[in-house]
Amino acid sequence: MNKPEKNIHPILSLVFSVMLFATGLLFVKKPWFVIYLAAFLILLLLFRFERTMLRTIPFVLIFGALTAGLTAVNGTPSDILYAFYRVLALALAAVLSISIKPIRLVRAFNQLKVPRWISLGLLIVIRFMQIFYEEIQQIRQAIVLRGIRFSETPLLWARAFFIPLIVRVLSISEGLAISLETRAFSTELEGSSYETIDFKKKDRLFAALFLACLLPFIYLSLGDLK
Amino acid sequence: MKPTLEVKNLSLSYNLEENKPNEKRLWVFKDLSFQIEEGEFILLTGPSGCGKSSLINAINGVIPNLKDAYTEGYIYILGNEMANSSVRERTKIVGSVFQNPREQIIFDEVADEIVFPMENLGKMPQEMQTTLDELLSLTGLAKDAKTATLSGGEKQKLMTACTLGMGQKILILDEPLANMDARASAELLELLKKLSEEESYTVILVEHREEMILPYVDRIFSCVDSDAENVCMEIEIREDVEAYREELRTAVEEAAQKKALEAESVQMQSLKNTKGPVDREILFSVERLDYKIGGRCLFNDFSWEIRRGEEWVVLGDNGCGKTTLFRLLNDFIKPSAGKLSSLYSKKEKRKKLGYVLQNPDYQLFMPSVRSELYLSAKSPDFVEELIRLFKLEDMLDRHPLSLSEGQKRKLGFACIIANEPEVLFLDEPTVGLDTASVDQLLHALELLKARSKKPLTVVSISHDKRAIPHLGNQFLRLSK
Repeated sequence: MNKPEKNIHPILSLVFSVMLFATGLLFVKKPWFVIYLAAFLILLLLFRFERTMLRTIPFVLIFGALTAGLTAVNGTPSDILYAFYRVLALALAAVLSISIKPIRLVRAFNQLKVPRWISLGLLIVIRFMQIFYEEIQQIRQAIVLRGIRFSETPLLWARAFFIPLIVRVLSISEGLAISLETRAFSTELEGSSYETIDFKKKDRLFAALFLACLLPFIYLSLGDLK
Repeated sequence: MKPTLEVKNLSLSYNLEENKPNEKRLWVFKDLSFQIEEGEFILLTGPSGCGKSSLINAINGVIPNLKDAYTEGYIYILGNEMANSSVRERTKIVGSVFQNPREQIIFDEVADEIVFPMENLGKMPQEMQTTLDELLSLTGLAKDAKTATLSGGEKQKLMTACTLGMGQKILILDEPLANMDARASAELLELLKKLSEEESYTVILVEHREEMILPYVDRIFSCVDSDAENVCMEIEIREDVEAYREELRTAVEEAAQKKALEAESVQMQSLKNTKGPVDREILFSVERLDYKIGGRCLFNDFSWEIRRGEEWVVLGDNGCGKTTLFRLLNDFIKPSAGKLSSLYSKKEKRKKLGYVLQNPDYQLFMPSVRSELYLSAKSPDFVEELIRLFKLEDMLDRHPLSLSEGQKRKLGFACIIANEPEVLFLDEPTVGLDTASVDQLLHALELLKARSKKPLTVVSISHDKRAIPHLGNQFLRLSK
């Protein structure tokens, strides 16, 4: 069975993620920022984003501590708190964007007639980052297998790490290019879509609740400006 | 009637200078001409690094469109001259399955990968669904399986399925069976034969394990050394498949006899070197191990022991967890439950264990073949012996990564055994190697056994029937 969060329309997720990120950074110094965070946390939990939220916790802890720590060097306690809040706002926005399945986003873009070189380019960039991470893991293991330790021979270790990494990255880039060409990918042709990504009732409900949560805070923020 | 594929005076060289006189070029092949008719099933065979992949890349357009090479001559596909056409043009007619499937996967899930080329061709969703279901049933892959968690063989099945889904009537497959288990290989060959016989597909298949393919093929294109100056290979076309099979059988029997004699002499040497009675201490012990990944349970209540001097071959269908077991034994991953213990500490493992990876690219990084071999070698004499055995004399100053895939695989193997490990893990060591290279590799293993102060323990993963009987005498069969 599909994970529940996959059911939110990918473009909606992307747009709301950007909105959450922008408003989060804008509202960070507002006295009601914690209520704003809580409102969206509840909304995301209602729509079953709990697994993705759990995945962001290490990021929040590491980067939160790091930014708060750096701010503490010559900042006030409230500066430290705001720095931590910014990381929280970023993580909240990331929950929506990292829950998007790349292929659904590409298909949704295709339906909106976004050029394929943009939508598929985006997908390949996402995929390449994942491959890059896997390659680093493999190379590190290969280094261990040849008995090379960074502490004993750092130059040799660097060689054993970077040479295969460069070669693998080039080889994978070439492999991906050949793979695309020989699988009839073309930027000129429209192609078809295996799956139609429609706006469903759930998406409309999510959008309505999202805006219902966000608009009062925007109103409050505008009131503060006056 | 025009042939499906016609190659006329085709020449290919990796010397790229346009103005270089032809007589000064080193040609992979020169003035190659042949025709292939509709519905023919062709086996393209020959030693590792002889130029088979270059030829098929010239046919499908990867050369010169995506890989640089100097070419001359004509390629006619369905009567149309294609030598100057793009890969995309040729892809409409020619489907290609390449080596290294890992580098070609774009999507997270199996179904998305298979339907991607069909989407590009503008097929209707219902048609895609029907083809997808057929291909999933053929390959045994799960629709929503994560591509990152697939084994090497499963990735190869996936890329083959992607090509079959496009429905081109000319299929070129470059070692599609390299990592596949026997059942999957037989199923794919049956399917290709059915497509060629019943639906007039033209199939060109590159493979070293000829004995497996011969029952299916109509003609054999054998790459042999060329007599011409500055030309590496030429093609011998054999139509008498039965006679070729007989010749192959005789050659295999002769090689087996020769190997038996050599093995006897190495064993004699080995006996002389063995000091005292054979030590049978337990090196690895696995007790009630569970391992789960991506929702798949690979091991459940699994127990096993490896004792010193034992020679195990781990067998099983693609994706059953063979490489994962090696990774567990080498401490790269931790079991979900159960106990895994070893006589060696983590530090000792790095010194006394050797592990030959499936892909040699990860283990080669020195500036020359020579420095790569001597990097962790224990004895210069043994390295010299390995250089002679693997015929690396002329390549010692070359960069290891400039070698052909087969040569890199042999070099990677030589580098690991030059360290004279007590325990050797071999993960598909013979993939992509011709029979002569497999023999070299097995001979090197015998030499290592003869040199080892303690009885050598070997644990191998292989689907290769040529190598399995020589890699071990105990078998562990894993099932899904």
